[in-house]
Amino acid sequence: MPASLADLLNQTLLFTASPKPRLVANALPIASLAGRAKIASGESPADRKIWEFEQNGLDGVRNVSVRQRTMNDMRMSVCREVKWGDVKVTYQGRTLGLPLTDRFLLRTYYLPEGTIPESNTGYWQLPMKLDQSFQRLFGFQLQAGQLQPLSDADLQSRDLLAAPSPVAFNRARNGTQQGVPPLRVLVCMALGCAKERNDFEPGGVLGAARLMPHVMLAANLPVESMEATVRLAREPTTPHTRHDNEEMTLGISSGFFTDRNDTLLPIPYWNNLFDYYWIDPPVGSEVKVVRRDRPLPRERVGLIKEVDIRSSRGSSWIAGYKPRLIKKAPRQGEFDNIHMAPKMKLPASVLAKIPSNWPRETTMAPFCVHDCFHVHWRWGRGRVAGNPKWVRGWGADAPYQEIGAPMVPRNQDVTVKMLSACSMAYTAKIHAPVVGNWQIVMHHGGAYALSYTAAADAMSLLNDVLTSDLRGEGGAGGRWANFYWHLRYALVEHSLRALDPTDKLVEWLEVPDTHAERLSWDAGGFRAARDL
Amino acid sequence: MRKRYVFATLGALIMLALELISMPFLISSGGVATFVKYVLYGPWTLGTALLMSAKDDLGVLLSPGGMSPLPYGLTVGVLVFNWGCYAALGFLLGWKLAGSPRNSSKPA
Repeated sequence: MPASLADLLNQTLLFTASPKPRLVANALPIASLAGRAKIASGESPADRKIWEFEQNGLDGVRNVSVRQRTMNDMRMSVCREVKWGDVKVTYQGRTLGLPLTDRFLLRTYYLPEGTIPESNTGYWQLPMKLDQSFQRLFGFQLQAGQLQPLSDADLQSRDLLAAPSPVAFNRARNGTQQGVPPLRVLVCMALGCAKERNDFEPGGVLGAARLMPHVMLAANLPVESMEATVRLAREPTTPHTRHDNEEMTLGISSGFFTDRNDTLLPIPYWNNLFDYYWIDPPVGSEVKVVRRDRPLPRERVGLIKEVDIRSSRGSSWIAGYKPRLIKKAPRQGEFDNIHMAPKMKLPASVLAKIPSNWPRETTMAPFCVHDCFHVHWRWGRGRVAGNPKWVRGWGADAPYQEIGAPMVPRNQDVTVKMLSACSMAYTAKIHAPVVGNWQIVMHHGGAYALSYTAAADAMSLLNDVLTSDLRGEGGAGGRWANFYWHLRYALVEHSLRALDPTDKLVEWLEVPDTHAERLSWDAGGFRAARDL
Repeated sequence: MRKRYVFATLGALIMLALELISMPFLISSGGVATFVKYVLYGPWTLGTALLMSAKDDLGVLLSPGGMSPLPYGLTVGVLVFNWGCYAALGFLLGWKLAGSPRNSSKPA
């Protein structure tokens, strides 16, 4: 078991990279990309430095942004603010707050660039190229009931977090003070910024830049629990409401999604990929996203319903909704991911012709093509489609082991609270952590979409071929809006359109086209599905 | 001769249907997706890889289409070419399956 500072540091994200990070003063030497030449031909996106941020106290960063190569290297805001905090440890029945302040700060490490090799062991196994990243190490010691900073001599000790003798271990667990070494806790708050790679979602469609704000905690004695929170806030508005003939809403909003397990084909319709979702959750909503109190698989029929489209003799109609089965994996909670992005608007020429009560904008999912930051803590289990390593969840003590499992260690409960329409607090409670082992909060991180492969374009083309009804005038605009709209909603054109494709006949006979959300539920069903 | 055309057209339509059904696997991963990408979408996979290589390695100027590294028109072109290849393959298979005109014209 690692006990010295060097052993512990070698397990952190930055020290897994090559070259190793360098020790710096509290003020980070953050490099700016202003004035840099635009992307050069022949330059691989995977090698390109893209991340910028500003220090915001010891426990936060602000103005976290990436350079968007497909938008002429434009600077796009990813997070207005990232803040680490509310670190707590409960020991012998007493909860201690561990402030991330100058008094307890031991070390700050900064890595301008580094490479993490692919591995099958350790906490950081995915190959990636890190852009500028940093981590701060804080140390706490409980002496005479008071929290004290760790001294330099303690820090250099080979037994910094050595496991106590069995006798001392039992005494500590039973609440006895005598003969028990003082409680020591190390907290490593880190921001890992990765360069673009196609290994975020199962299909590798998105070129995504991972942002990995996380907290690592370790104690030398058997504490009851630990807790830490990472807050992520996006800018409330996007700087870019028009992109590639598409129009976005100004406001950035959020949506929770629950991935469907055991899907057969990877058709991106929402009823195929999701069990249910919650678009624009109200401020203050708190959801349990990883649950230790759900250790077994569960399934129920009828909580959620799916649109029932019937066809006969060349015409189709929506016959209503039919019940469907929800399957949840062990520890799966209410939702599996959150997307924070502007919505995509249907073109004005389309809005002018569809009924006023029809949805006029749509959420970009399952993958998004503009200004989208998403955090996934679990991915659905594909039956035929692949489950690559990067979407697998934690096993007994290591990440990327189990298909369909949460990407969160097994001894954690995770809640997500909406602080505003575009900010959230991610809180993990760690139960009975193993003495001397790092406990990692938000190991999975999040990602900002920078590009998509030509295959995504091909899918939108297929949608266009099958459904051109909501394209803009002349077909120039609204290709992606049309695509996303149809992923969420089913549209059935009236069969009279076969005779007269214009609106004249259907309007004269008052037989309009119909549409329906592909998934439906009532309040009780939604509550029960979330709680399943 | 009519039978050959019917079989050939059917062959082309079946291949196109297979192409459409398997298309979602282009945005997926795993064994089936690999099969689809390299067997059912071979010209597409090769074509887009060549275009990407021309852009990234040879510096050929191809303006990105939105967040896609390739222009949408080019992507559509490669896709339609791919479908055309498999439709032609289906057509030929159907044609062959219906038998040669010499055989079919022989008296029983």
